[in-house]
Amino acid sequence: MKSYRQIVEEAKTEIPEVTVDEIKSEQEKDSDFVLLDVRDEDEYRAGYIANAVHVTRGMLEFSVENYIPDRDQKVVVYCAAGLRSLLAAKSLREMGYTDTVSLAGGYRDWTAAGFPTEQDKPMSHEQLDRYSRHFMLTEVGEQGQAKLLDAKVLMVGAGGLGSPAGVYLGAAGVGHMGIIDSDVVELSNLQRQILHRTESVGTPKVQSATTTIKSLNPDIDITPYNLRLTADNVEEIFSEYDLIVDGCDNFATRFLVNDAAVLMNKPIVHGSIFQFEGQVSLFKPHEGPCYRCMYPTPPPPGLVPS
Amino acid sequence: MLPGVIGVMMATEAIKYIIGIGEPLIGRLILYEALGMTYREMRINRDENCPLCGDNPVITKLIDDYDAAAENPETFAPAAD
Repeated sequence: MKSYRQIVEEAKTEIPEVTVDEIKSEQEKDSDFVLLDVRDEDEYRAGYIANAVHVTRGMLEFSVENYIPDRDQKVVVYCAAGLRSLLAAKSLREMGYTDTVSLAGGYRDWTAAGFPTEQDKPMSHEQLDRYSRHFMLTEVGEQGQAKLLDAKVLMVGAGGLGSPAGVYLGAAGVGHMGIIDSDVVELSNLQRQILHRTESVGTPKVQSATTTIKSLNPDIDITPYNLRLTADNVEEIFSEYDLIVDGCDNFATRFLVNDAAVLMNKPIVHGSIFQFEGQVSLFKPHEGPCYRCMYPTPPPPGLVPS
Repeated sequence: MLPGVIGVMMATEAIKYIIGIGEPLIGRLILYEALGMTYREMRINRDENCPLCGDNPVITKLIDDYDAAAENPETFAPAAD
């Protein structure tokens, strides 16, 4: 039987230790290494070293490959004071990682030296509960959720496509959503536009959409624009958002959205449907095609199904 | 039901993009057909001659009236000066 001291002493014989000063100067030299934070969630939440990858010691073996696929990558493991990181680094060696070291003194020495740290925007207890299923997905986690909460997404259209998109984006905690649509809810919309309810018939779609999404998730901000997107207002509205979700139902708006997004360098999630067919893509200006690369001009009006 | 499928795919792409995970649909078009329940992926490339995002774009500002232009498609791509 071994005591923890023996286990740590054994690990020390296998795993090189580095000091916080050494790592700081490596950082400044832009050396190629990954900082791996193996502390628990609550410790990480209180602050971490910038750009650190966070995988708790408990989940290390299960998910480290998702973050550090290259087993020859240099990995500097740290914990609160440098013991768990030794054991974690040893486990990584057993998994075939060839260049793992442990940060002596860990986060304690890093902060004591006055080196900079970062902290995610703290989440409330309710947020930690509401989004807890996202945290179980290692690719999302609290950092991913923080990105969602910070995101600014504009939904063009609160109809057939905007309904499911808006429901899920809102529920997932996209923190700032704009919704633009000039229509009022009609009875014939309700067979598919699940943002709207029978009692909303006759009211603006953006109002009905805001009410529904807010009732699903009061944690987010929604800006309704009860107007039609035009060449005159598009730049002012787009400038508030990082991503455009285009669920519009007409070519004039689709080309307007595309032109403005390319000119303003905003990515578009594109979707459209006709009868039983639908298509989806992501147009990232200059990294991939835009809508006009596929369709330089709209079809002649006579050919447009309405 | 179809808009539900496509709208949820759109939300998925948006969330992936925001978090920065997975393979975004840049340069790929997903085509879904509900009656046959088929799902296809098409490669789509940036067109270097695209009037908007090509190497020598001719559209460098917005058109004044997109509704009017939609009625008259030729006006959508103004000729080069």
